[in-house]
Amino acid sequence: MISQRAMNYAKILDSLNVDKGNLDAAKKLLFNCKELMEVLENPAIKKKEKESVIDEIFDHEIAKFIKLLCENKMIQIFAEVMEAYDEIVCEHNNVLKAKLIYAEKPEDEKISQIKSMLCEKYNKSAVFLELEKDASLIGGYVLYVGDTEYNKSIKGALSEMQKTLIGR
Amino acid sequence: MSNMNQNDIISVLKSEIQDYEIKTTIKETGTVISIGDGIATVYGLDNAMYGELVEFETGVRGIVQNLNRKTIGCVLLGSDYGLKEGSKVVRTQKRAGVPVSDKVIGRVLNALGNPIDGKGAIETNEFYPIENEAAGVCTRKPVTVPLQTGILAIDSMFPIGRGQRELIIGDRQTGKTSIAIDTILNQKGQDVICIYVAIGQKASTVAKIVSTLTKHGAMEYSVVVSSSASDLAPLQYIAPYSGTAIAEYFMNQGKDVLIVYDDLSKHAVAYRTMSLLLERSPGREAYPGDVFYLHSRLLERSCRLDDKYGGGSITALPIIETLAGDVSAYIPTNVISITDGQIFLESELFFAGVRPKAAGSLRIDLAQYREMEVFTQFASDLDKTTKDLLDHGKHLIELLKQPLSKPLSLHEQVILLVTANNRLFNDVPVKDMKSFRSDLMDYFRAKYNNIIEEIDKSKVLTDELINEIIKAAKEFKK
Repeated sequence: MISQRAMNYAKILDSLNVDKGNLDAAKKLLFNCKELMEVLENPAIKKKEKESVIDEIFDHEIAKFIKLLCENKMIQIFAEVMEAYDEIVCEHNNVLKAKLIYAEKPEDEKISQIKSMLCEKYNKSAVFLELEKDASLIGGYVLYVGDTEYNKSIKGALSEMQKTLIGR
Repeated sequence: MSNMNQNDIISVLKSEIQDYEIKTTIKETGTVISIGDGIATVYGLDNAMYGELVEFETGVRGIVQNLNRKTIGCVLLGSDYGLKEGSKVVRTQKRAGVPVSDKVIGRVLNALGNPIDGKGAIETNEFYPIENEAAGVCTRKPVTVPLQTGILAIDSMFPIGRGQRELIIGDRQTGKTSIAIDTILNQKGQDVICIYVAIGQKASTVAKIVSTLTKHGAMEYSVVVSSSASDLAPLQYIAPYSGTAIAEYFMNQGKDVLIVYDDLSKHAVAYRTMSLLLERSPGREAYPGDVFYLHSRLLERSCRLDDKYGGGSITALPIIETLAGDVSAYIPTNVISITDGQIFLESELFFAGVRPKAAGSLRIDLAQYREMEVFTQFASDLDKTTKDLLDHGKHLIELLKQPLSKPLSLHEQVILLVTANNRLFNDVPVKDMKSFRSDLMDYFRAKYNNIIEEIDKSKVLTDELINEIIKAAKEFKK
């Protein structure tokens, strides 16, 4: 779930027009380097010291943004902000985000079929399809687009059959 | 079903499974982000409607009560066992409703319309939404037909009409429920369907009421909807609406329905619980702002339909419990203002003049008696008129004393009142009133059955009939 707070920060980040490569590098650094995050989150460390660290590591525009997060004591929601930012970027580029959970990985041809079906149905230019394996589905796949769930798995069919048989 | 053998069942199951067609199911799903106290906050379900029924992955259902920007607030209609953060929730695209059919008569149901009396499932495909719009102005007809409660004090002084809403209000242990139950008992053979809705009552109390109704043969035309004190607040909240939905089903068939809400103070408390948990702003006494609308939209559904629309009616007897006789508290004043008339079960208030203003001679006599009662201690110094007044009053009070679960039929009431109004009781010693009364009725039944039949048939009291009754009563006294 993305909070309104994270969404607001993501909008600010979007308006800064940062370079995508620089942002990816910053993301990687902050997600992987635990010590750096600990320093930035620590309220005992002075603002000046934090800022000099940030200036040294990050690119100019991104440094500005991270400084803002630190000042507002919001650096801990950085991951959530990034998620919200991805959503905004997707919206800008008319890209649909969807999630495919499968028991056995479908062939590439099938995946591209699903993608083109989604493009047509939701009137989008591209689809970013997140893939996930879940053996408990037994067979088939489940496709999530926003709130809508397209269930074509054995597990789903079995639970539907159970419902019909016990008449609930 | 019971005479099916094992092999039959297995073959039916087999064919069902063989013919089962695997389809792609398309559902709108959301995710639980927090759950507690019977309230679930669900992320997603962007298209969910207010009041829609949603289903959780454990099979428990909920009603959408709050719509926020990214989340919705649902009240659970069952146990939250097995639900956790991340549990899936599915839209049903239906509004909450109760199953209805003629088979619900004689049954005890929960707030969702499912039987809880262990007499098996009620098979029906018809559903009525629990929240329904009240009948409009053009579809209604004035209230003209009375509904006898069988309680002399009420039927003689504050008669209730079919389609009316009469509030029964009073402190605990003043006999509010007994009035309602007596009224239900008195509907035997009157072609009236009775619905008793218990909200937040002890299960033992409900069981006692059901056994009273069964004992007197009243379950043949009654339905009990029970949401006891241990039920979740949302279930207590929807119970009266479910009861009204069942009542509307019968009303739409042109039947007269009597519905008792016992009691609406507990209903308001359940709604307050729910609203506070849904984080709605508390107002006076921590009730939410729409607590008035809560009861007005419920009671507005009672009506008498025009003949064009079937001519059925719903008569409502809401019950309100007051604390220390305080009728000016928040909920009592609200419900008093919605209802057409009130029965106060608080002796001092009852006689102090707080009652509908329409006058009948019995009421005036009683009021005069109450005014003069303080002078009884000077009995020897009083003039004759006052003495007569006091004597008459004493006899009237004696006449209105009535044992529990013994409603009086129409002809009994009429004969007793005509006799009393003509002061024919006044020379009978007060302690002998009870036996005199029953002897008088026996005499009428034995010798003047034609009068009884005339009253029951025509339901009109002519001067001729009055004279006949007086004549017969005088004859009996000789």
